[in-house]
Amino acid sequence: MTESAKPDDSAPLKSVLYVDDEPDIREVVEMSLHLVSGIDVRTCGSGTAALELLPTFKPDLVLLDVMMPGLDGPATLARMRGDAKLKHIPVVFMTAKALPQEVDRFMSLGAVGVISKPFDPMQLASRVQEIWRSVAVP
Amino acid sequence: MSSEQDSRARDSKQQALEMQQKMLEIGARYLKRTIGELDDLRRMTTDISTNGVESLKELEVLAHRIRGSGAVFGYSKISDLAGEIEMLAVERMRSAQIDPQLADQFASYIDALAAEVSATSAAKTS
Repeated sequence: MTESAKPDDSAPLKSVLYVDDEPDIREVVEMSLHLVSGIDVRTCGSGTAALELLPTFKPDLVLLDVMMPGLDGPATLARMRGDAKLKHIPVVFMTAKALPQEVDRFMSLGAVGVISKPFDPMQLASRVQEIWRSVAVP
Repeated sequence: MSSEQDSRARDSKQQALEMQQKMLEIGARYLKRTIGELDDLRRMTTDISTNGVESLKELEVLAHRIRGSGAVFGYSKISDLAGEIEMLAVERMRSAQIDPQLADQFASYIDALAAEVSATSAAKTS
């Protein structure tokens, strides 16, 4: 994990990229994370757009919708893990398909957490912060 | 309660009210967008006879999106009806069963979804 993305007890989560093809949910997540936790949130509508934005934005964490047309969440994560500049950025999946076996599959792909949809916008920030704090510091 | 605690409680309440208001606004936009997406669902259904599984996949993705977002905004009936469209698409992709009645089945599900979206929109604007 790069130094800038390495969480520890004193490093709050500052920036998040949220990737989802649903524009209304992008707006909800941006509002929720920024209003409740003051996190700098950028959003984009596809895995392809995310891969273009990531090298310049360099967020602390990526929240990635699973089902998207074109490059879906898992395929986007795979591309990130294959890129030396992006592979250290922690990724959390957001999905309506959060059965235990699906969660296991997502974690085995390299995600650091899975958040179920629907989510409570008032609780989303604390859930994301909880996952951020749980990512191990070597 | 101390004045600092009072202040924090007020901020938290204010934040919740602000978020509630924003959710109503965004939810209204979601309903408007979903009305437009009903035409997309109908087009995808028409295309099943020529595009087969590709159209079923498109139906799955769009219905999944409507389902998930509907649930976030508290439109549970819309979410459930979109979920039925999604499930039918998934089942037929798995079984590769594309028969002439399939388009009619999707059409009736989409009609039900359209009626619910329309009713919900009307209730919100009245």
